[in-house]
Amino acid sequence: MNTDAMEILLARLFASPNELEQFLRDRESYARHCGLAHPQVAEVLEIDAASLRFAANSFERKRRSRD
Amino acid sequence: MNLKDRVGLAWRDELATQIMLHLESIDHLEIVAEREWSASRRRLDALHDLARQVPISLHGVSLGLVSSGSVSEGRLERIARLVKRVKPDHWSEHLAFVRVGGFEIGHLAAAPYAPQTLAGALRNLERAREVVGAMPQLENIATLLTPPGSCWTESEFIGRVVYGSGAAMLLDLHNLYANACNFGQDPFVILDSLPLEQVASVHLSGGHWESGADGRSRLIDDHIHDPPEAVYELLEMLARKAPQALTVIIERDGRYPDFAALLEQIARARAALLIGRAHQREITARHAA
Repeated sequence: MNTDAMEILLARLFASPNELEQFLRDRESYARHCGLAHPQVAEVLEIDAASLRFAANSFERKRRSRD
Repeated sequence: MNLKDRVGLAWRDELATQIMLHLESIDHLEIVAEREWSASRRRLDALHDLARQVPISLHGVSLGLVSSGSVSEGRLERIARLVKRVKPDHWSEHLAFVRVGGFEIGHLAAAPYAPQTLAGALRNLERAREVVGAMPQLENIATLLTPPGSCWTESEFIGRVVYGSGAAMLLDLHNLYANACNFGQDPFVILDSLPLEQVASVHLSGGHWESGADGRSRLIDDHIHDPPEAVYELLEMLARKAPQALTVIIERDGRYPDFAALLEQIARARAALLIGRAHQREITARHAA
């Protein structure tokens, strides 16, 4: 299991709304580009998009409120 | 209260005057470490004086210790300097990552509950202990997503980090409650699955419900609402089960109510502890008979 790559993928999605949109447009390509191997790619295809957006928006709001 | 349980508040400058006026009702103060990194010598002296009047803890919010990546030495050194200067009762951080691979989230996120994260966390915690001179208490976080790549539940992962590092736990009961609500779980079952004998401190706070584009409502931990009743019930259950003394801290980050309302929340927490401890004594007596 390549958890480092998965953690980096999550950081990219949570750090940047643009990255999130790219991911949601084509999850598989994005995951492979991040260096995830097959079992992890399958897992990111399963992420609930609404919860992911909710989490990413929450991080974005927190960043903005601090700036 | 038995076992020297303590109940206190998270220090916020907006509350400073009222806190100082009501120190007799406050057993503990928690100070956000990062807010003091640029503090003047005078302010640090004042914090040190405060630490001699009431036990205080320094609470880190940006180290990102629970990550497969390495913790920043610079950030650890700043915590170490603050700890040395203020001499708190203890310090704490979150079971979270904040940045990795050059990407800065700027807030607390859950990394995969998996062996690589565990190994990184144990390395980072050991380094934190070396640099700061003490292991931090570790706080569970609120998360809206079970991290992909996880092979353990959150509770299993927390247990492995806590037992593996020997760290005590700062159990945030509202984070626990929010996760349980958002993942459709029973918060009391989740509480029971955690390493309760390792819990040294407790956070109580509140949040709000928010609807997403999918029409689902989620409970967001925001620290600007009162703790819900369920959080006090969880504290009561914790006090029933945990044999050790607990330090309970009410966290409020904005929309401050009258200070009387915060004092009432402290009193409510004390009452929950008392009820839980009474049950614990009853159970112990029954077993002894």
